[in-house]
Amino acid sequence: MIAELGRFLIALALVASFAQMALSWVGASAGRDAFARAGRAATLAALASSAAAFALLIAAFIQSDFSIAYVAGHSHVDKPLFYKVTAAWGGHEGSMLLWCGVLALFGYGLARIGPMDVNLRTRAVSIQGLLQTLFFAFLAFASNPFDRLDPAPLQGLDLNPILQDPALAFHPPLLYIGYVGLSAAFAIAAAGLIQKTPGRALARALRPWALGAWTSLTAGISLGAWWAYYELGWGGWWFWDPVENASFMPWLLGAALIHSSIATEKRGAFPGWTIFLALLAYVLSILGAFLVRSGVITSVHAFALDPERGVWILGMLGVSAVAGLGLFAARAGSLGEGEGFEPTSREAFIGANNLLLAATAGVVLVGTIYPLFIELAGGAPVSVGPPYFDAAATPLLMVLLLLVPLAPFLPWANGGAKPALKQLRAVFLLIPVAATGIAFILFGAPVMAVIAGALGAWALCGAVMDVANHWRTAKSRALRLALSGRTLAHAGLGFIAIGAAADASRPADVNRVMAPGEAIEIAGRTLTLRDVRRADGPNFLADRATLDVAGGGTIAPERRYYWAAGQHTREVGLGSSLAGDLYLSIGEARPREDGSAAYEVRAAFHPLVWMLGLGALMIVIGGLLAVASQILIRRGRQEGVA
Amino acid sequence: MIALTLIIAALGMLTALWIASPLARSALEPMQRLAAFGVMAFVALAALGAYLAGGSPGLPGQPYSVTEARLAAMDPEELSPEEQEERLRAIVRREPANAEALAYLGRFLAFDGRHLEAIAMLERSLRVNENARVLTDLGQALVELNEGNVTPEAERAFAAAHARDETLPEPAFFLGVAAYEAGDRETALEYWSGIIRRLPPADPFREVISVRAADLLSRPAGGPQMLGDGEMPEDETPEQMVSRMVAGLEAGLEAYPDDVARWMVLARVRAVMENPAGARAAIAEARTRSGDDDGTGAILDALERAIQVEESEE
Repeated sequence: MIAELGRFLIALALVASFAQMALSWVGASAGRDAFARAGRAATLAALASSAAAFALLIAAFIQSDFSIAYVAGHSHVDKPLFYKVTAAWGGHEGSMLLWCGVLALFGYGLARIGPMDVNLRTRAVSIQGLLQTLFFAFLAFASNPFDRLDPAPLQGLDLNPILQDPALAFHPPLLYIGYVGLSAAFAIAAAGLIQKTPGRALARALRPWALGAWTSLTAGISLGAWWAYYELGWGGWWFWDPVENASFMPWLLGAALIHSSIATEKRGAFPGWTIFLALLAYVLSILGAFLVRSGVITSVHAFALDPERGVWILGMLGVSAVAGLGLFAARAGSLGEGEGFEPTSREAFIGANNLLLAATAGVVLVGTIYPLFIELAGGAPVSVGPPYFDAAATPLLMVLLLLVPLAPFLPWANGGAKPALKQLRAVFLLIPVAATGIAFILFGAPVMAVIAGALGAWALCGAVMDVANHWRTAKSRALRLALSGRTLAHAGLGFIAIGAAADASRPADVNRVMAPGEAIEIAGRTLTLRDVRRADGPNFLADRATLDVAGGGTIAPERRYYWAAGQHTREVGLGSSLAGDLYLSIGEARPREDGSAAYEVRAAFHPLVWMLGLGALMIVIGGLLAVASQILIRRGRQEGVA
Repeated sequence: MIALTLIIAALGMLTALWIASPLARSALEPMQRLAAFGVMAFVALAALGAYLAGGSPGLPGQPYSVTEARLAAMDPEELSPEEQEERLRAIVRREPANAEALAYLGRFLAFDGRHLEAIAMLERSLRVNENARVLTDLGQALVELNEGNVTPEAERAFAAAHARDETLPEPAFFLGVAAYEAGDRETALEYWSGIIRRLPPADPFREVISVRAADLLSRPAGGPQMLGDGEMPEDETPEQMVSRMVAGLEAGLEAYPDDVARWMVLARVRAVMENPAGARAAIAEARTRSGDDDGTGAILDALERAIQVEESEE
């Protein structure tokens, strides 16, 4: 019954989304309040139906109902309960249901706390309803997680073992809130274009949504990078993989959007560009979904799927892109003209920031889809990897990092670099920058890493100077929250740059076949293999190696065999300290000629890698503070209106 | 089915009412009331239609507990191998300390070629109750996993099984193999002849072990002592090498006349060199040297038969 009820609820959510679109449209177009209220009621119906369907899917996983094809393909009776729950979004169909649920959540959110202009809000709810209808239709007719198997198999195939990890349990929901959250910005932008709302008002309306979505996207991407670092066993946290790029492109445009919307809201600058970004960021989110789910790319993160579903997503991408960008082409004139500004003004630097972010997104887009076009044109398969992205995208991001600390010190409109430079007290900033640079050079770091490390220190010091200078002038709670958010986010960027630079300068990995009692040395630390013991879990068999670190502490990497899935994995052992991570993984047993057991051990040292996590966390907290500030400002406006 | 129909109908109607209620509440004219009714009907019917497009209302759900109960109620003889495995797994899940079920499951998995899993189950069973039969199964699973090699881990399992129950043929056989692989033919012969002595004459395993032991122990390449001193010179022909080997063996037998394994090798080499009388003489000498040992006698009988078979084939 769970399966059939779940299927019906998805159908109900689809119809409710359609009703939300149609009723709200009539409500906004004809000024019929009853229809607008009916549209709002439909948002709750869509949200409740999809949430209930999702709950039923989780229940089916907990019960191990293998008559549901999706459960049979992604679960096993012996899998721990936590991963039975998270498997609900561990595959294509379930994650699509989550995606649709988040879309419905944002639809409901728009109806409840959307733009203050009621007509704009109703129109935005309608457009959100259109996006929901497209995705729910895809879910109901081409990716239904409640499709059945008759006869049901005795056992399930288990969830891909590398997805049985706490970080990956939370990574997709956060990522989807980010991707789908951008749909709210899209809906408001499109609604504003239809309503001919001025750009400034539109920027004000969409900014909190863009901020929230971008913050969640940051958290999702960071968790994904952290997972890749310790789960995949090769120690990388970013590989310019197509799926990583698919999330990075909307992130870059989202970052550009939250900055340009400030300039548009405060000074009316670049209204067209801000709205264009709001539309494009969501389109790129769907492009990401297409890349991950169509099967056109190969990646450890991709859902291997048939191209038929890719055609569906391509259709949704086409509708969103044509509708959104077509509307922009037709109505951009109604957004109004921006006010003028000097080259040394804050607007100019925000513009430069936007250009760099957009250019980086462009570079990533070209590198990601180039292999597809080559294959479509009949060429031999090619892959575009880190050498391209490092050479093309990293320099742009470095220039961006150079500008980040300067913008907060520049005045709006008329500009003037002198006071900014004076306030920055460049000499004091240059000392830590130089110190960082020298430290990296001493460790034998590559030139790019030295520059990135120094720029990270520059951004970090700039953020400290920013808060020190502006805290006194920020009189209200909202302004202080906004300043704290900005400072944390910019300082977080600095930490990430230093962490990435340090990681790029790490010593060479050590690969050795070791027997108990033998030792290896890495980065001045001696590690002795104490023993290798069995450490089986409920759905896996494991060999756990214990290595003693000279000076105290042990690290215990594992090699696991998930018998239901028939896959081996490496569970990395980490020894974390302020200096960095000792990173160990254990491979296959390699018996020696005398019959004694020895094991492949891979040891690496990742200096200052914690800075990456700290930086990401600071950006996320910064984003949340900025959202809180927006909520306070909105509340103030509402009280003012009342 | 009836419950599902009722729930679906109730959910559809409630949702339709919820969405259309703002319209119905504000409807002042018949047309507006009609619009409200239309929205309501559309929501309910469209949802039902979208559901029926792929739904299987007659197909009941099948939580694992239902499957488990069904398998438990079935006659074990009627279960397919997959069902047998599931039933065993269900017992092990329910009673993680049931050594017997763990051992059965381990054997099942080993038979199915899933040696890693089999070893884990057998080890779990042994942690609950150490048993010579399960130790033997564990040793065999380890040998299978390592492509026929008796690893030190497997040898430990066989030794523990042998210590617990010397009458079991498998541990002694594999301990013999381990000794043979280590070049210790005397110990190998001791293990194998010991098994044969203990087995009843009609036991088919006795013949199997005799034949295998005769084959292995009479192989010239089994140990360094067979080649005499020195490596094979580069310009030595195969005939010269065999002659040197025979000379080496004969010299070795002068020094160790009671080494039955060397006599067996000599017998096989002589048979290959088309000297059946010499081969039989070597076997007879081996028989004399082994005294009245029934086990060694059976192995020598097997060797004699093998040599005769080779002769008749030629």
